[in-house]
Amino acid sequence: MEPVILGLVLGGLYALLAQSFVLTFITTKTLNFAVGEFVALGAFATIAVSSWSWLPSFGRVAVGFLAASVVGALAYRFIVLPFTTQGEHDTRWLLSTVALSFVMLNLITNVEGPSPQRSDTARISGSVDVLGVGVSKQQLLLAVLAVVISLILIVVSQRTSIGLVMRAVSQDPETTSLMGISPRLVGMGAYAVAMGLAGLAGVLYAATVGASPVMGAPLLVASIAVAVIGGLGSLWGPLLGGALYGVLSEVASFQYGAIWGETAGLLLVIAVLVWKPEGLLGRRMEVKL
Amino acid sequence: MSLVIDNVESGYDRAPILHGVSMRVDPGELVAVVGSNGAGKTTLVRTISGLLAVRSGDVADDDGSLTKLTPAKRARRGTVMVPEGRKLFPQLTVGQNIELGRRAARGRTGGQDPVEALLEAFPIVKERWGQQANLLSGGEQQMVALTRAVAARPRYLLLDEPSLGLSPLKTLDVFRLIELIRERTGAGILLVEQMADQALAAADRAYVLEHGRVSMEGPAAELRASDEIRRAYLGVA
Repeated sequence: MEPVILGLVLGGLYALLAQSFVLTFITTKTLNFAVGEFVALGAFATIAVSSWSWLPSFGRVAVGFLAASVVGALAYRFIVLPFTTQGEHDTRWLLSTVALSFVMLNLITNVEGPSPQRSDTARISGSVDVLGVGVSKQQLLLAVLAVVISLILIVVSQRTSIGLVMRAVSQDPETTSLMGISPRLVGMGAYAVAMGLAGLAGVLYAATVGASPVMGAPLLVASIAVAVIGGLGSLWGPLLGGALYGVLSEVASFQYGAIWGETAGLLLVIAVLVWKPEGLLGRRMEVKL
Repeated sequence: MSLVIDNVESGYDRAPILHGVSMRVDPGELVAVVGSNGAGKTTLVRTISGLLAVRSGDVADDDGSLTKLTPAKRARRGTVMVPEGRKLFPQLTVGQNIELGRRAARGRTGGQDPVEALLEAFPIVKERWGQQANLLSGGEQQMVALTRAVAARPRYLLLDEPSLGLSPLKTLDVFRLIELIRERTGAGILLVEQMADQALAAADRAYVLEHGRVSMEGPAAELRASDEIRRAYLGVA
C-alpha cells in the first residue's frame, strides 16, 4: 500500500507540469521544452522576495507564478510563434524551446549560482496519515493542488467563453481568426497560465528540495511521460497519467530497486504509444496531408 | 463607402496567383466573382480576409486600408469571410459556433440582432442548435456557417464557394439565404462561385476572373447573357 500512496502523491507534481504541456499543446500544438527552467524561475522569483516581510506568503507564491507566467507569454511570442509560421509541419519551435532551456539555465546559474538554496516560503512541515501511510504535508499539498487546478481548467474549458475560444483555437486556429479572435493572443494566454503553473510547482517543490538552476530538469522527463500517457489533448490526461506513472514507478522501485522506478514509467510510455498513440484519454487527431 | 480592392497582387511563395486585381463592393450589393478552377477565386477572398498577405496593391474598407491588419482585426472591422468547405468547429455545437461568430461583432452591437431574422426564416438551424456541428449534413453546415458569419455583423461578407458539394436543391436554399442576408443586414456581399449561372442570376454585378486577372466585368444580367460567358462557364454552345 505504501508505494501506491506515495506514487499517487508523487504523481501530483508530475501532473501539474504535465498540465502545462497539455495547455500549450491544445491551444498552439507546441510544447515548451524549457519548462524545467520555468520551474526554477518560479522558485527563485519567490526566494528573491522572501525577505519582503510585508508580503504574506501567499503573495510570495504569487510572485513565483507571475514571474514564470510573464516570461512564458513572452517566450511564446518571441521564441515559439516565429518558428511555427511554415504550416502545421513546421517543428522548428522544438529546437527553439530547447535552446531557450539552455539559455535560461545559464542565465539562472549566472545570477543565482549552481548550488541549491533553501526556500522557506509555502513550506508546511510535518506529515499526515493517509490510509496508514505517512505522507509529507508538502507533497500532499502539491498533489491536491494538481487535482484542484486540473478541475478548474476543465470547468473553465467546458463552461466559460474563454474555454469556448480555447477549444475553437484548438480545433481550427485559422477559422478562429475569422471570428475576430487572435490565435496569437490565445497562445500567449495559454503559455502564461501554463508557465505560471510550472513556476508554482517550482515554488512548492523548492520548499522540499531547495531551489537550484537544474531542479526542473529531472521533472521534465517524468512530466512529458505523464502528459503522453494521459494524452496531450486532454485536460483529464495529466491526472490519470500522473497517477499511473507515479504508482507504477514507486511500486517498481519498491519491488526491484530504484533503478527500475523511472524505467518502468518510461516502459509504460512506450506501451501507451504502441497501443494508443493519442494517449489514454486523448482524442485521435485526423491530419489531412 | 465600399470595400475596395485596388490592383492587388498576391499568392504563395513561388506562385504568384493574382496579378493586379481591382474590384469594388458597395454596401447592400451582391457581387459575383466567377471563374474556372485555378483562376484565383479562393486566393482573392483569402487575400481580402487577411489569411494571405498582399504583395502589392491595397485592400480597404470604409475606414481605410486593411492590408496591415491581421485577419482577426479585419473581421472585427466588419469584413467577414465564410471559408470554402464551411469550416465549422466540428466538435462544438451549432449554438457555440454561432456564439463564436458574435465575438467579431464586439463593439459593433445595437439595433436588432440579425441572427434572429435568419433563424426565423430557416428554423432548421435553430432545431439543430445543441447538436455537434460535424453531425450536420453539408447543406445544414453551410446554413450554420452563413448564420455564424451574420452573427459577426458584417459590413462586407466574403463567401467562398458556398454551394460546394451541395445538391442542386440545397444550393437553392443557400442562395435564398444569401439573398435574405443581403436584405436583412445591408452588407455588401462578394460571392465567389463555380455555379456561374446561379451566381450571375442572383448578383447585381459580376467580375470574371481568369488566370489571376479580371477579364470581364459588368452588370450580372449582361454578363449572363453574353456569348462568351455562356460558352465558357454556362456550358451552352
